Amino acid sequence: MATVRVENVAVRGIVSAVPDREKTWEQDAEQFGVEEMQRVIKNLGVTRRCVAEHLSTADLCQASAENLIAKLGWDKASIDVLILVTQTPDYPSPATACLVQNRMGLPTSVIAFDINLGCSGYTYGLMVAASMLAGGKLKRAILLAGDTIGRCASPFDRATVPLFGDGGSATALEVSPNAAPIVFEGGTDGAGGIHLHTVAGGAKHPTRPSDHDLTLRRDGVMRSNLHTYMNGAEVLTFAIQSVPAMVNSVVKAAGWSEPEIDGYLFHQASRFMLRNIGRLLRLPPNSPKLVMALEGYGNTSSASIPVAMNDQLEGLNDAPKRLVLAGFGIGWSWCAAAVQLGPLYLPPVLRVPDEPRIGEFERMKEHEVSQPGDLPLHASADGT
Amino acid sequence: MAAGTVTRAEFLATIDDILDLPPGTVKGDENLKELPATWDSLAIVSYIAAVNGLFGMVLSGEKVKATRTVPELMALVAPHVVD
Repeated sequence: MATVRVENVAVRGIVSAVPDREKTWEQDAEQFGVEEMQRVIKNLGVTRRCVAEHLSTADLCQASAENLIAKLGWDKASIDVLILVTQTPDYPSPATACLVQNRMGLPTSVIAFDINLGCSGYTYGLMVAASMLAGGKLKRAILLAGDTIGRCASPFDRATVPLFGDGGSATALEVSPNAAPIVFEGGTDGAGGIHLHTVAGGAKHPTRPSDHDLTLRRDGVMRSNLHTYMNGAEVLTFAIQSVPAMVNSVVKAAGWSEPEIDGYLFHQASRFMLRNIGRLLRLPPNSPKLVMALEGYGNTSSASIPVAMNDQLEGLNDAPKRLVLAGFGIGWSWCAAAVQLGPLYLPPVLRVPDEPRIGEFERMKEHEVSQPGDLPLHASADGT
Repeated sequence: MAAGTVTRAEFLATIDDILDLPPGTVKGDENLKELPATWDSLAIVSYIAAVNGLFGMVLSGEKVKATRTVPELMALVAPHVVD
């Protein structure tokens, strides 16, 4: 595993946002049956989650960032870096971070880009943002991490429907000579790509009409090529083999001992998954150190670690805490961070009205199809 | 992690537990389809986790999915189940 140690960078605040549209296990029970859903929710630890019909990744991340920047009293012109981590970008192109720069009125001097990672994305984003600031020339970074994976689940898939939720987040990082070091450990095993993926809709396999067809898959679930496939058994074997090892490794690299650790903030894969990881870390059952924030949110992919912090760690507003963060999953990709956080701005999770936001898409489309000045529509197929 | 052992009765009780069945339900020679609860993807992940907890082993999902009977499940962890 690769280790990265970052000095002189502080986290000033974290804000998370979810759509105000809730879905409940009772709604799922209409599809899957009450008895079946009771088994499933016992395992997942989720009876309610937030799934947007209208809000996008950019909307949820922007709502978080606007609140964060305002509450910190930062001048938007002082922001040097804007990183957006997502696997559900608003558009195939351009990068969602570029659109958010414009929507938020951030200066054009900002370095903005997307990172395409999911479950492991928050800790990766933190590592990239902190490493950029550690160079010394750039002073302030906003890390956005969010996904709208609720719409990626097949309605017939009881492994994903009751689990996947939507969320966005914003984290403010700043150069600070007195900040405690942050230690990261990351790794990758792309052999896991076959177990957790969405096959259609990329440039390798652009969406064709037949990709919308629901067909019966090997796991007995009706799914289309545009839905996310997850092999839960393989995710579990990956997690129990990789997560305890990376957590122990990053704790050792940070020079911490277990009693010094105030909390473990892991990607909220499912309650079952987190309990198994807790067992392997030899934490007592139901240890309050192992933060659980699945109820009310579900698994929100790249947003799950910040959502868990905003939902569960109010005490961070006061004294610094030693936290171990760990993202793991789709890729396979993983990254852990040993970080001392606090005091910082950490409000409860924001609820954003899930209403249609007319404007950007329509403007882009309008700009493309309208032909001011009667310009020739297009070149002919043979290039003349 | 030290590799433990369990008795055959303890192993079968673990399967009962995974399927939320009363202790003593699973006798040990059944086809998984005959059990009074569904052996499905949820049971498979629970089995992988239970085996990991008991013996420190990590079974592959494919191997567990390929099993059709309780003896086959037991065979995956054979050295750890003693009479």
